[in-house]
Amino acid sequence: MGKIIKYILFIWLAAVFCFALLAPIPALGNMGERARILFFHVPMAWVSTVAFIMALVYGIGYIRKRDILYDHKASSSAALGLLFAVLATVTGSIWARFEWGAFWNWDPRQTSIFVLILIYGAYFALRSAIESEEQRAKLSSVYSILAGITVPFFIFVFPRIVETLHPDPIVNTSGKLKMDSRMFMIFLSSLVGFTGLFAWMLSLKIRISKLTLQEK
Amino acid sequence: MDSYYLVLIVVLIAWLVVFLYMLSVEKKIEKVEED
Repeated sequence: MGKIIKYILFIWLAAVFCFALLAPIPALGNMGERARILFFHVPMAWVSTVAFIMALVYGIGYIRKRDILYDHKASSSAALGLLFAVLATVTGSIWARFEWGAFWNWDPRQTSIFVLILIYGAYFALRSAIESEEQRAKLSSVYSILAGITVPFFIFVFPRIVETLHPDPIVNTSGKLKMDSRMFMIFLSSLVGFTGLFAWMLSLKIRISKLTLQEK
Repeated sequence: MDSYYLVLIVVLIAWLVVFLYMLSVEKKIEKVEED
């Protein structure tokens, strides 16, 4: 990633934060000002989904090519996915405290992200339990593939097939975008910014992995 | 509205810290890569 792009990313996300917190937004259902959480919470959940899917892709890469770097890429991606999943859970819980009256309500959305955090927590427990690098790469690649398959179910399917208090997702069952165009622009910009941040973080982690491998 | 500005300042400072930390990590990586 070029140096200029990083500075653009810094200014971009700083501008997104300014708009997300200060730009006037229309009332969204009965949420009022609490709807601003959307600009932070949804992009974090999106990035965690992308990261988990990338861990699956890298897992497949290792199984096919038996290159240890793919295993490092998969674990780096899963670690970032876990970080953003925790951030999405924390921001969602703060919103839930003011919207639903409690930080945790075992709502289907909360339950599904909690299960995903457990699944990827177990992935790292598995990795730390195996000493042989090759064995660890083999088993954790298979695990990351299996875990990755469950991600679309927990994020997109499960919360839609059971009753939930959670507001309609951006792409809802009626297929209509229920959002003011200005809000949508801020939301999209946030999505792009957070995805760029994830790409940068992942590239740093992969470069560190490469250096560690070279040292070995 | 004042609390919004306060939250914004906290968020911007946090983002600046993260950004500078990532730049410093990148600098260290570049140094090791050159060596």
